[in-house]
Amino acid sequence: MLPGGMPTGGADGSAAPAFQSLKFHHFAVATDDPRLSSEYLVALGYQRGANAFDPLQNVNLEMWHHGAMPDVELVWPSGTGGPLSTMLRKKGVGIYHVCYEVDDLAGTLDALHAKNLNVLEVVEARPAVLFGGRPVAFYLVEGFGLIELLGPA
Amino acid sequence: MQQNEKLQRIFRDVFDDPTIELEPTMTADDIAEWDSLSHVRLMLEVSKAFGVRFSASEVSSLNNVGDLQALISSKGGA
Repeated sequence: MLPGGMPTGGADGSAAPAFQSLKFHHFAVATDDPRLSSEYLVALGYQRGANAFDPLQNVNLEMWHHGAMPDVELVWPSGTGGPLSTMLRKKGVGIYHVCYEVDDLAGTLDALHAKNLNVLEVVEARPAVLFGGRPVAFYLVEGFGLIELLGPA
Repeated sequence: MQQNEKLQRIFRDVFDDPTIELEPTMTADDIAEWDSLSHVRLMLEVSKAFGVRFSASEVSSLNNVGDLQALISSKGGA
């Protein structure tokens, strides 16, 4: 532990067995101006990828790819209601969630709880419109924020 | 600490309002800062304080404080 009581992580940087299948996939940015946000990504050399409308969340989604940097998902509301609009109104444009690929959604959630992390299921597992119907679920992790878990095809 | 007392403390902390007095009929319309974003923060705090887990459907199906109190009790929250 650090002097302030902060955990330092594993000495060899390895994850607990339950998290070894976990891989970073992308981070999402909530925006109310996708044109402006994409101008920044284009300036960095990002390429526009797939896009979709998610009727369950009433949001628009668009992936951006880069040869040397992490994928970015732009998320912007289709209407004026919903959590995303509330977040944009309160916090402005910024990182919305971090997404990880996992082999087993439920198993990963159990592993997070087993680590005594305070995790709340926010969106139950359902097919992802942007990722070929692969299952996704969203969780709020105390001390970190919103995460998305993306299961196998 | 009684369930309602503990829950009231959580509401006061999350919504930063020491004057909140919980009533079973209280809804999001009664607390200015109680929106969809703060609701998930509230439920995260409730989950931790009472040692219970909630599903997303439970989180989104609550109509008032009474529903939340009943849900906590049904899960044996203490």
